[in-house]
Amino acid sequence: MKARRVERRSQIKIIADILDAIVKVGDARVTYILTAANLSYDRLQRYLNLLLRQGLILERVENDVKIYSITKKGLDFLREFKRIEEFAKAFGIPV
Amino acid sequence: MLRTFYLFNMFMDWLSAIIFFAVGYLAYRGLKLTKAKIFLFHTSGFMLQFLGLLTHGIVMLTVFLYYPLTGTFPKLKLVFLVFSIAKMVYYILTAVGYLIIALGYALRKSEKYRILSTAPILPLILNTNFEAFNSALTLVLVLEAAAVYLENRERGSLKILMAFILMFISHALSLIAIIGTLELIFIAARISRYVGAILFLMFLRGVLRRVEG
Repeated sequence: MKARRVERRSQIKIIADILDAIVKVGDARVTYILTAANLSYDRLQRYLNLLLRQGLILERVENDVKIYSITKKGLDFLREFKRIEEFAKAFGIPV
Repeated sequence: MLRTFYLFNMFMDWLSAIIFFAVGYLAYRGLKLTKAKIFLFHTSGFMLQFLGLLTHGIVMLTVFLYYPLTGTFPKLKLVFLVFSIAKMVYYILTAVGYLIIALGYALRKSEKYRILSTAPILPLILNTNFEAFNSALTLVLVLEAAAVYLENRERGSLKILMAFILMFISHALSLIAIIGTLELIFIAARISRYVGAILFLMFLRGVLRRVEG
């Protein structure tokens, strides 16, 4: 039986996926990001803390629920990543 | 007509240089963002192509501005010399650039056709570039040797001329053989090179005999 190879996402790709998920809805809850970015709760928390430290996202609390939104810096990062991803794809470079 | 062609060439050189710089710069941004070393190959490969074209473009522009293509022979001789050097720099940088980009492709991870696509490409790039380069160089040597032979009509000069002609044929045939993957032509190229080497040997033997005599 052939073993199915699972492609591992790079850290930068995971960050881009999280940002992309937030951009799609504007204000995103953790549960939404979890499914959209396909991450475990612990890993997502680590990444969200990293993104907050880097100033790529903002966090606010509404009715005891944490809501995340993207900053201008985050949008710029996502735009740059998508450009590079497109370039890399053309050359067959995995990002 | 010549002037139009020259201007077109110069324009295309500068345009291509800008394009390659842009591609190289984008690859550099990819390197900066992702820290993936594979981008380094694409950055350096395209930047070398850019530098090669830039060198050539600068020489073309300088010649166009300061040495118009009409003039006395000594002036034209200098122009052609500068052109030859610029061309050489351009070809070397282009060849190395292609090679580095090919290496970048070879280092791609987890691609189904990786080995299939890169294994024949690397030697092909190396061989075609160097064979084309060597063909041009040996052609220059043939012309120089022919000029010497026409001047002195010596048997030694004739041997050298014949040897260089065979060397040139060898490189040109190799290039055709690599591009067309023609085995027989490749064998003919090899034979031509060996005969050329034997002619050099005969020349050496003649020289040594004369010295001994």
